[in-house]
Order: sequence, then structure tokens, then C-alpha cells
Amino acid sequence: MRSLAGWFALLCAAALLAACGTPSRPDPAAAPAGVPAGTTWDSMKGLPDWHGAWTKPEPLDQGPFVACCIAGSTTVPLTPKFLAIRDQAARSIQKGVGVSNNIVTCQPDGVPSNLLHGLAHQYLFTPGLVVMLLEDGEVRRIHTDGRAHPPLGTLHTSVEGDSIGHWEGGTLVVDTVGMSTEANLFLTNGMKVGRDTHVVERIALRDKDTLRIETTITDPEIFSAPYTYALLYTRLLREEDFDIGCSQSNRDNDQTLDLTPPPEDD
Amino acid sequence: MPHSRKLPAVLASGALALTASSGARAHHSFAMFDSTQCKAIAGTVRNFQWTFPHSWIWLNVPGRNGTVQVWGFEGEPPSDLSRQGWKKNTLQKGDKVNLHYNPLRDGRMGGAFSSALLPDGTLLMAIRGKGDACAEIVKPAAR
Repeated sequence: MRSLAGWFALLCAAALLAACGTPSRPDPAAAPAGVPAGTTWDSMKGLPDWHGAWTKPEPLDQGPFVACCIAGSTTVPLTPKFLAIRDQAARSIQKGVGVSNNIVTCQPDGVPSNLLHGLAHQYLFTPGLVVMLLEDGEVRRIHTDGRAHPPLGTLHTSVEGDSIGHWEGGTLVVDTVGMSTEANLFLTNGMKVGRDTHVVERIALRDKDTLRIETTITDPEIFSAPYTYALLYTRLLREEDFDIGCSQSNRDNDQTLDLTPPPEDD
Repeated sequence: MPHSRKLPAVLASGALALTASSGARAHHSFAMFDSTQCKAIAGTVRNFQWTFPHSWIWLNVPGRNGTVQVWGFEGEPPSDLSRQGWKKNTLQKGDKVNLHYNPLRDGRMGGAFSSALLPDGTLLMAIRGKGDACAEIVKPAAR
């Protein structure tokens, strides 16, 4: 028979549960009217559920991955100048000589290449700012407070560029300019972004655990027409499998591999 | 659903050279590995490093005259492997495993692993790019 203390504890717990309610999912209907989504704590109630981390499903053979390594491919509308750069890099890779890129030496890859890895990324929502954490240690700040890009002449360029965004329902539309010319375009094919490279991303859930990112890149020097590709990312819920950093076991020395075994008890 | 299945048969051994288009993998240049070749190797786990940016499998492999060679195999990061059913403790020191891998072009004792046949018969896949020779040899079970 339950003791008096036991009944008291049960009643307290019930009261607490009633006060706290059950955990709720983001509800677009709960966002206050007239306030741009994501710009205030209240308006964040309507944002989609992107918790966890996002990593790409198989196969990794879409769009930019084909473009990066196949000489003669016409998948990507490159200008003649950049077709030549791409083909030279592809021939080099076929011969076993890799084309250097940033992340081989744990340098940031930048926009747009940093979402083309097999690495994971994670989103943090705060009022007026969406932060993207990438597994290689890169951080992208996407300002959703309604600001415009600074004039390019005054912009402090970085490999991540300047990102502004807004919500269209459950879709985050991100506009990025101002990447430094150290940022990679497509992984390991030797192509860097240009000063006029403009990246627009549309990020939205395709289903509960699949995120679709459609990317359009424009740069008249590199592309003969805007290039659009879409990739799917799978939700990763085991937080211990999402790590941030690049130096824990990076044995790649650009063209070769360090095969010194670790201590046996490591 | 992870790509794993029980396998009663022994995996194919030897080097199989296939003509394949160059595929892209992960986040950096994999030109150091020959993706047109798929080799198999059996050994005893020396270390299994569940680390970033790459996981690593280190095997003790019997050599000539009773010697033991240490082979090193690079793999995908944990965030990718976990979607294929791998866990931090999937391989333990002393486990006997069979790996399929793309060999290093320079001929050293190592490569990029594509699959592992565990002691209990479970076959675990790693992510491969299109055209990877190992993808043609070791296929996951249909979903």
C-alpha cells in the first residue's frame, strides 16, 4: 500500500508535469503574425525541427562529384577556361597525383565546397542568426535579421563569405557572397571561387529525417550559366558520432599517407 | 537501416583490376588510393580508431618466416560509418577480420577500407564512390 509520502510525491510530480507540459515540436502556427520568422524568440517557434546533425546518404556520385573528377564531363556548365582547369586536374588525379585542396591540410574549405564532403554539419537557431557548425571545424553564420550584404568593396572576405538568409515557410533561403578566393568550388579539382561567385542555397526538410539543400552558383567567369545541384542529407542523432575538428587522425600529407601505427593500447 | 548482413561464404581474395571511372570520396583527394583495384586481406585487429576526420583499422597480418606485418586502413569519419551500422566498439583488439580495400598506389601496406567481415559473420560496408572497384565486388543486402 502506498505510503502518505509516496502519494505526496506522486501528486507533486503530476502537478509539475501539468505545469511544464509535454515537449512540443516547432509549430508554424505558433509564430506571431507580422514578425519575420526566426528574428525573435517567439517567432522561432515556427521554425522547422533540424535538431541533430546532418550527413549525406549514399551514393556520393551526384553533380559536383562527377564534375570534379571526370575529364570531358559536361554536367557542369563551365566556361572554356575552367573546363581546361577541371580537365587538367582530372587527368592528374587519374595518374594518382592528387590536386591539393584546403581540407587535406585541415584548412577550411569554405563555401560552397564545405557541404560537399562526406562530413556532417549541424544547425543552431538564435534570433536573427542561424549558425551552421561543420565537422571539420568550420562555422557559417547566416544572418536572418533582415540585413543586406555590405557593399563588396567594404566586405571583409573569408572562405565562408557573407551569408544572409530568410525563411520561406520551412525553407531557409541563404544568399552568400564575398568568399575569399581561397575557398574551394568543388572539392579536389583545383577550382577556387572567384571574386564574383554568388551562392544561393535553399534548405528544407524533404521528410522527417532527410534534409534537401539545393545550391545555385553563379559566376560569369567560371560558369556559362547558373549551375544548380541538390543533395540530400540524413539526420544523425547519435551526438557522439558528430565530432568537430580536423586533427585527431588526419594522416594525410597531401600526396601521401602517414602509416606510422599508433601505440597498441591506443 | 545499416548495410550489414550475415555471410556464410569467404570473400573473394586477390587483386581484381576493374576498369572504372574515377569516383569521388569524402572530403579530400583520394588519388593516393587506386579505386580501380579492390583487394582482400585477413588479419587480427591491432587498433580500431573511431576518430575524426578518418577512422582507422590497423591489422596484424602474418608475414613471411613467422613475422607480423602491421597494415593501416583509412576509412570514413564516424558520422558516415555510423549510418552503415558501425559503432565505436565494432572492432576490438584481437578480432579476426577480413577487409576489402582500395590499395595505396605506392605499394605500402595500407589502403582505404570498403568493407569488413566481422568474426560473427556480419558484413559491414563503408561508403564508396561510384566506380569504386570494391563497390562492384562487395554489395550490401537489398533493403
